Amino acid sequence: MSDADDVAFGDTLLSVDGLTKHFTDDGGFLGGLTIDMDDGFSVAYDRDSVRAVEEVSFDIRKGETLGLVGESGCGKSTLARTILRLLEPTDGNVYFKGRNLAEIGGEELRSQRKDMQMIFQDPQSSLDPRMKVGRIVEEPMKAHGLYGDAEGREERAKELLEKVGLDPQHYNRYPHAFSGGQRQRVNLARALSVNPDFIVCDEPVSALDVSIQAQVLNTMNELQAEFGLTYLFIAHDLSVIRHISDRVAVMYLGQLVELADKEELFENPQHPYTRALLSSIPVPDPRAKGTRGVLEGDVPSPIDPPSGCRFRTRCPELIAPPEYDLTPAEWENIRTFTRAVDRRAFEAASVDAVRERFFDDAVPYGEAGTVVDEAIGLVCTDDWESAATLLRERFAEQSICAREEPAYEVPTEHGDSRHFAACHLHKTDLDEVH
Amino acid sequence: MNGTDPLLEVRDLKTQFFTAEGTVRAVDGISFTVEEGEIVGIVGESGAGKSVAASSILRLIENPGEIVGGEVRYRGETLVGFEQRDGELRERDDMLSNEAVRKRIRGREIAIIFQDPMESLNPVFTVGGQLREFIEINRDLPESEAREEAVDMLREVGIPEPVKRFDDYPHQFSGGMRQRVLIAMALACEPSLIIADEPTTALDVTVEGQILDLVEDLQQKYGTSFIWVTHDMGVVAEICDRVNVMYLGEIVEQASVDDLFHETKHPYTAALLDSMPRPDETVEELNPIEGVMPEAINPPSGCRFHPRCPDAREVCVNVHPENRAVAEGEIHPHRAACLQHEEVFRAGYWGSQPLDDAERAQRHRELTADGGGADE
Amino acid sequence: MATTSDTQSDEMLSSGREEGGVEEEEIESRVGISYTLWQIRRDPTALAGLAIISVMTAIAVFAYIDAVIFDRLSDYAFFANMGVEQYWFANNYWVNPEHDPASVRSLLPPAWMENTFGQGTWDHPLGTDHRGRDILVRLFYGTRIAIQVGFISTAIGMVGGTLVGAVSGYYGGWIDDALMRAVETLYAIPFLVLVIAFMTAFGRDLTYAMIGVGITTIPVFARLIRSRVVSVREEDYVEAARAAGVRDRNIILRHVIPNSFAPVLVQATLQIGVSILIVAGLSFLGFGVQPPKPSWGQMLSQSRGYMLPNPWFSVWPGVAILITVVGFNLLGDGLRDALDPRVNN
Repeated sequence: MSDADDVAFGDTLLSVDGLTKHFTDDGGFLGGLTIDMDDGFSVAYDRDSVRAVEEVSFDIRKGETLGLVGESGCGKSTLARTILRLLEPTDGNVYFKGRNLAEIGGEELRSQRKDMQMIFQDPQSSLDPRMKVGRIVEEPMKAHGLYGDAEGREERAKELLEKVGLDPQHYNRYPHAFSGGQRQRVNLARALSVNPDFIVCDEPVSALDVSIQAQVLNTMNELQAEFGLTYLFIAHDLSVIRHISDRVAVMYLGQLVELADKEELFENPQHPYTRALLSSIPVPDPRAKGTRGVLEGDVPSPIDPPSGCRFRTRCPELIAPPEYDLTPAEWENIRTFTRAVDRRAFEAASVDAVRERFFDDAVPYGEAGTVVDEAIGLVCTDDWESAATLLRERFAEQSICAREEPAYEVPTEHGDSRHFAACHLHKTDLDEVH
Repeated sequence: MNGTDPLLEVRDLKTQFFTAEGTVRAVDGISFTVEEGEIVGIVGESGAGKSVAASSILRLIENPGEIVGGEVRYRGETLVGFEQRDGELRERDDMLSNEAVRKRIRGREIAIIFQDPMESLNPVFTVGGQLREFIEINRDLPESEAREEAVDMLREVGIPEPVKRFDDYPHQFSGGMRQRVLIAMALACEPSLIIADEPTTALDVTVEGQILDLVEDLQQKYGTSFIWVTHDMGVVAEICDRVNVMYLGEIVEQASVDDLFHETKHPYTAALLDSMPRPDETVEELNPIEGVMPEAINPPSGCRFHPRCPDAREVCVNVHPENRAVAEGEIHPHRAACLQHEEVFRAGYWGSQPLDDAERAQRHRELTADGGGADE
Repeated sequence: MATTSDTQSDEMLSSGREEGGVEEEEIESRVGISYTLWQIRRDPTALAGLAIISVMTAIAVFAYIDAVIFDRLSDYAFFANMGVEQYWFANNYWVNPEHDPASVRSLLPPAWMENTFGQGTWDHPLGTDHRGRDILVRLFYGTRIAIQVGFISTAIGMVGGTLVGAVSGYYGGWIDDALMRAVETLYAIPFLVLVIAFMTAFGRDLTYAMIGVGITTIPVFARLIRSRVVSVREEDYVEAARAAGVRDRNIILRHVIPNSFAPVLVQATLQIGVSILIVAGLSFLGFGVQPPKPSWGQMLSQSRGYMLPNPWFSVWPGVAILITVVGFNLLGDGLRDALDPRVNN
C-alpha cells in the first residue's frame, strides 16, 4: 500500500489519550427517573453509570504486539471496542496514524475501518452461521470495494484461506463444518482481507484447546511477520500474553496499573496487582509448588469504584496513614481485622477474645489504639456496620492510596522501554508522570 | 474394608453415545484408582472423554449415552458392574440400583461439582435455601439445624457475611462465590470423594487461585479425596497427587504428578506440555501438536494418537498399545500406552519404519475428513 | 454419462475420503430455513395443516382461473336463473343446468336433507342461499378471496413489521424508543376500529381491507423480530461486520434479519389464519368485499336472516373459515416446533 499517511516501523501507529468510557443504565427514556414518595413527592432524574474504562493512555508502535491483560470485568474488551469506535468514547482521544478516531464519524470512520480490524473471542458466534466462509471472508473487501469484482474477491479469499492454514476448497462451507481452531483461522482471514495495519485480537485463543491454541498463536506470529501487522492482543491468560507480546499493559477495574516491556513486566513487576496476578497463575510444573500467592476478595463494583488507587481495597501493600505512626506489624493486624469485620468472618465473643485473635503480637497505641478499641467494642455489641465504617474511615481512607490517584514512571531493569506503574509505593523519590 | 483397598476403583469402564452418525466411544475402557485423601487428576483436551468418565462414575449419563461395560467399585460397593453372561454383557447382581446410588451414594458418599455454577444452582431460589434443603435431605436434619449448618458451611468456604448472603439469589453472587457455594454444597455431607469437573475453568486466575487454596485447605481438614477433571496442566501441577492423561476415550498415561511432568513416558503428554506457553519463562516458538483430535466415532487404528504423533512408526498404525506399567512409581507404577517402551510391549517399535510427515498428514486428513471436522 | 457415474461410485468406494458428494450436501443443507422446513415432513400436525392449505390454495387458484377465463362480469354469474353464460365451471356443474328462471329454488338444505322449502338435491350438494345460488360454488369462489386476503395482508404486515422491528432493535436508543412507541400506539387501538377507520377514509373495498389489516398487524411482527434482533445484535458476527466497515443497511439485511427470521415465519403462518378471520369479520360488518362477490364473511352476514328456515346457509361458510384457519394454525405450530432449537436439539 502506498498511503501518504504510512507509518514507519517502530513509530507510533496508535495513540490512546485519556480514553474514558462510561455506560449508563439504558432503561428507556424514562429509565433514569425515580419517584420518591417518602418525603412528599419528589422526582429525581439520575442514572448510575458503570465506569468501565477510565483515563487510559498508551501508545502502540507499528509492528509490535501490545498485550493487554486483566481479569474478566476489568474493562479490557470495552477498551478495545472503544479504541475501534465500536463504542462511543465518553471522553478522550484515539489517534490512529495521526487522525483522531474519536472525532470522525459516518462514512469517514467507516472507510477508516479498512486499516483496523478485530478478531473475536468466540469462534462459534463470530461467524454468521448462515453464511459460507467464502462470503464471510469477502464481506469486508466488498464493503470497501477492494479487489475489483466478485471473481477477484473470490481469488483473494481463497488465497487468504490458504495463508491462514485452511484448505481453499472449503470456500463453500458453512462455519459449523469447522472446528473451533479452524473457525478462528477464518476470523483471521476475514480480518486480513482488507490488508489492515492494526488488528485488535480480543481473547482470540482462550476458547481453544492448548494444542490448538499453540497452532493459532504460531500462525498469528507468522502473519504478523509477513504482513507487518500491529496487534493489540487482549487475554486473561498471562502465559499467552508472555508468549506473544512485545510490551504488556495490565488493567484493573477500568484503569491501567502497569505498562512495560514484556521481560521487564514479568521479571520486575512493580505494581502489587501485577505481582498478585503473576503469582496466582498455576505453573505447569509440580516442583514449582508453594510459590503461589493469593489475592483476597472480589473486584469492587465499577459503578462506585474506590477513590484514589482502585486496587487499594484488595492491595496487600496498602500504605499506612502517616499520622498514626504504625509499625508494619500493627498495620498488618489492623488491616486483617478490618477485612474480617467487613466480611463478618468471625464470631465476636468478648473484647478480649477479639483482641487476642487479631492483635496478639502487635497492638497499636495512641490514636490508632483508641480507634481499634472503639471498633472492637462495636463489634462485640454486634454493631458490625458501624465498626466497619469506623475502621474504613479512620484507617483505609486516610491512606495516600485512597486520596490520590497514582501514576509513576519507574526505572527499567530489563530492556530500554519506559516502565509505568500506578502505585504510590513508588512515590518516595520519583516524579509523577502527569 | 482393609487399609490397602483403594477408595474408588474403576476398571475397564466403557461409556458410549448412540447418535445418528454412529456410536461415539466416549470412554473406551479406562482403569484407575483413587486412594483415601488423594487428589487424582483426569486431564485431556475437549472431546477426550474426561467429563463423561467423571459422570459415569456416579452413573449420571443420560440418553443417548450409556455405560456399556466395566466396573466401578467404591468402598466395597459396586456402582457399576457388568459381566459376560450367555454371550451378552449384563449388569451384575451386586450392582447398586439407581435408587440406592441416588439415595446412598450421590451427595453423601460421592459429591460432584460442575464447571458452570450458574447451571447447578436454581436461579429462583436463594442460595442459602438451596444449601439448607440439600443438607436437610441428605443428612436428615431438622430445618433450623440445617440452616445453621448451611451458614457454617458458607463461612467455611469463605463467603463474606454468610448470614446476610444466605438470602441472596445466585445471580447476586460472583462466579467465584457461586463456585464456593457449590463446594460448600459438595462438602456439606462430608463425602469421602468429590468429583470436580473443570470447577475453575470459567474463573479468573486470581479467583482460581483462591478456589485452589480453599480446596487444599479443606482437603487437609476433612481428608476428602478428589477426582479433578481439567484441561489445564498448570492446575494439575498445582493440586493433583496422581494424574491420568486421556486421549480419545483412553488413558494414555498414568503417573504421579512429578513423574508425569519430569519423567514423561507418552509422546502425547510430552507434546501437550511442549505446546503450552509458560507464565514463568518466555518461550519464543511453541511446538503445537499437529492437527486436531479425531472424533471418537471412528477412532484411528492401532495407537489412537499415531496420526498426530511425532514419534509414530509403521507399527503404531497396526498395534493398539494397552496402558501398561513402564516404570516404577512411588506407590503405583508409572503406566503408559506407547509402543516406544519396547521392553514392555515387544511390538518391534525400534525396528519399524518411522512414518514420514506426508504419510501422517494424509492419514490425519482421512480420519478427520476435512482436516478438522465438525466439533458440535 | 457412464464415466461420470463410474467416477462417482469410485469416490464412494474409496472409504475415508468420503468427504465429497453426499456428505457435503448434508452439511450444506443443514443450514438455513429450507432445511428446517424440510424437517416438518416428519410432523403429522404440520403435514395436516399443509394438506388443508394446499387444497384450499388449489381451489383458490382454480377459482381464480375460472373467474378470469370465463368471466369479466363476475357477479351476475351467481344469479344462475338469469341464464348468463359465465363461470363455466359453476354453470355447467352446479348451477341450475337448465338455466331456467322458473326452476330457481332458494334456501334448499344440503342434498341429503329436507326442509320447508323442499328436499335437497345433488345439483346443489350443500344447498342454496336466499337467492337460489349454489352455496358450494360460492364457498369455492370465496376461498379465492380468503387466501388472497390472508397472504397479501400478512405480507404487508410482515415486511413492514420486519423492517420497523429490525431497524428499531439494531439501532436501539432513541430510534428504538420512537419506533416502538409508535408501534405500541398502533397496538393500543382496537384493530377493528383502526381498520374500519382506515377503510372509511380511503375506501370500502377489498384492497383497502387488506392494506388496513396489513398495517394493523405490523406491531405484532415488529415486536417479535425486535426481541430477536436485540439478541442477534449482540452476536459477535454482527460486531465483526461493523468492525470490518460493512454498512449498517447491509448488516441489517445480510446478518440481522436472516438470523432473526425464524419466529417471524411462524407468526406469519399463524397470522394468515387470523387475517382471514378479520377480513371475514369485516365483510360480515359490511366492509371489504361488496356483494354480490362471494366472500365467506359476507355470506355469513347474508345468512343472518335465514337462520331458522335454513341454518345450513350459515353453517357452511363458518365451516370453511374454521377449516382454513385451523389449517394455518396447524402449519404454524408445526413450524414453530421445527424452528425451535430447544425441540430440535
